[in-house]
Amino acid sequence: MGSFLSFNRSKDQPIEDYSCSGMDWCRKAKTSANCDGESNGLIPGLPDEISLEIIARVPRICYLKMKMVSRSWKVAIGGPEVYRLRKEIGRTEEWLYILTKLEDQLIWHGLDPSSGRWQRVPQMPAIAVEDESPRGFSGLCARNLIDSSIKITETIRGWVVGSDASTKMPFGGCSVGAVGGCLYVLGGFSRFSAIKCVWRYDPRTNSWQESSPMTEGRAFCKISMLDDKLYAVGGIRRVNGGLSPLQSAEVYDPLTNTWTEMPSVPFSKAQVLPTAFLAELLKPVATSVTSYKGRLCVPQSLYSWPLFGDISGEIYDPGTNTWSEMPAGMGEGWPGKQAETKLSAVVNGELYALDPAGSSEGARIKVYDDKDDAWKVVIGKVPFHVSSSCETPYLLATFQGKLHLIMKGISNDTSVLTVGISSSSASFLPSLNPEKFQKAEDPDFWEVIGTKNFGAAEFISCEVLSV
Amino acid sequence: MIKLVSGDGAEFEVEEEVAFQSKIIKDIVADADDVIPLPTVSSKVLIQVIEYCRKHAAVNSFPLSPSSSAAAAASSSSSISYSKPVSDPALRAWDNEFVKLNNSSLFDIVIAANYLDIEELVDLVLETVADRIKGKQAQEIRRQFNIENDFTPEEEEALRRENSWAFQNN
Repeated sequence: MGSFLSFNRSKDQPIEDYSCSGMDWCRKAKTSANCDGESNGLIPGLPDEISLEIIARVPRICYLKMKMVSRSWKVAIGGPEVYRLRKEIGRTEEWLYILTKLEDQLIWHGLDPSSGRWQRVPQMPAIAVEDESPRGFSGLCARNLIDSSIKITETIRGWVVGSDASTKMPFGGCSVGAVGGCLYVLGGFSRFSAIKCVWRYDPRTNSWQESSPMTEGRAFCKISMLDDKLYAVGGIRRVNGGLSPLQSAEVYDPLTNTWTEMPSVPFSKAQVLPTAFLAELLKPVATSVTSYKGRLCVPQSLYSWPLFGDISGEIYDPGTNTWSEMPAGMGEGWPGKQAETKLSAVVNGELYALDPAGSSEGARIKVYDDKDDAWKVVIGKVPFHVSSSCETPYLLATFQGKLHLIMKGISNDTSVLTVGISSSSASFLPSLNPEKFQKAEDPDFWEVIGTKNFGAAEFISCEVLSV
Repeated sequence: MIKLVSGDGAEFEVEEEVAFQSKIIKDIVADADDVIPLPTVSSKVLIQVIEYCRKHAAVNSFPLSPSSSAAAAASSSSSISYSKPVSDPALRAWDNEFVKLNNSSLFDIVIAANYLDIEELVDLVLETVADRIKGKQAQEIRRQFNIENDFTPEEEEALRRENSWAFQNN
């Protein structure tokens, strides 16, 4: 038996031992906090242990303002105790972070769904030096982070057209992921070479820090989180003046801050091309990676700019540490393979993907039916006007246990919408249910939880953090 | 009846179910006598705490509706026992009135309630103070709680920049 909050009394201390007055006792508690090396107490008149309990109960959107109160508040808000308490009392908040790109600048925008307010993440570390100074490695890494105007199709062009195109290539090609309540930005190009560098954003301190580098330099690698680990699959690097796809993959454990190599992606379909000429011309790439049913699904394509050839995909099972071929229907039907943005999401064990489709039909959302090995339409038409100027006006996310569509509408207004698909697997095939199918036409089917105008910025990706 | 003695020597006779809102008193009474000295709690604060316990003991022993008692049973069986909302709307309204006090009175109550291990009262006060912080500017928070601004102008400027970047065009 102890007191409710832990500070006021040790278990074996009888209650009668307290002979000082309430205020004396209070001061005593504060003094002991001071002895622990802390500066001033958080709130005069309250032991810090109670003040921390109070701070943990304030919504996280208020924390940046609260950081300005005093030094001890700043320390408390950046420290682990408040977040441990938030977790304990069920106040962990899930925020959606959207990565946008404008004029070669990458910016993350966090959405707090309960207030509908947005909080911009600080800019990723800016480079200190313009070019190759000796201390430049991390600087060069950082440069890549803020400049990613390159598109993978342009990169692929480099493979085919030759080094001519690649010399014109700007920096870019980093990948993003989230694990352990932090955002990660991984690899990319710096001065034409793919780099290993990884940066981590911690929302608790609201700051970026360099994290353990990958074992191999990668640009445009594909990232997914599975079992609290981050997987980096494939990507491309520069070899002998040209660009070459990577088959290797590795996994990051945030608890140990280490990367470990895993078996390479076999790309078995690409190994059986009929001629050496084709094998030289067509490069296999992982187009995305999605964690589904405890495994990593990696749909693949053969690139030969400007052509795409789908070659199904492969699946990695961390339990057996092996790759196997993806079911044909899943791989060949995987929607939106050519898209540059994140268009798949797993909600309550169901795999959804957005199919940008033809411009006339508009976008559709499909779900994968593993019994039939087929992608089935759940939403035949995303019923919104989308500005045609934007190349990739959609993102898909799993947020607060529901499917969310992030889209850019008229006059660059970005909306975050909860998709009203019933999540139980019994209603797995709503496309066969005309009533439900029609519901997608109903505005109530889409609940707007946040809007913001990002101007001309393009979507790159989105992640969800629970803090 | 149980006799509680405040730090300033005042004696309060309360029914068991009222006193037992405090887990610590319940444990003490189980293996000791019925006079409980509470030297760290002033009579002013003890009166307020007893008022709260009396109200909650009454409501908890006569639940207004079967649904509210079922909800209470469900929430008390969860792994995290505190931070549960008071389900009865009338009691919640009473609680809201009860905490209409200045900060230093609330602090005295939360310290006493924490000492006496009255979870619901601790949680009520923590939520109330948290609400007084919510949405406020740093300057208002400092004024409200008599907190000294110990930042250098440079540090303050850096924090201001951090804020204005984060909430620009919001």
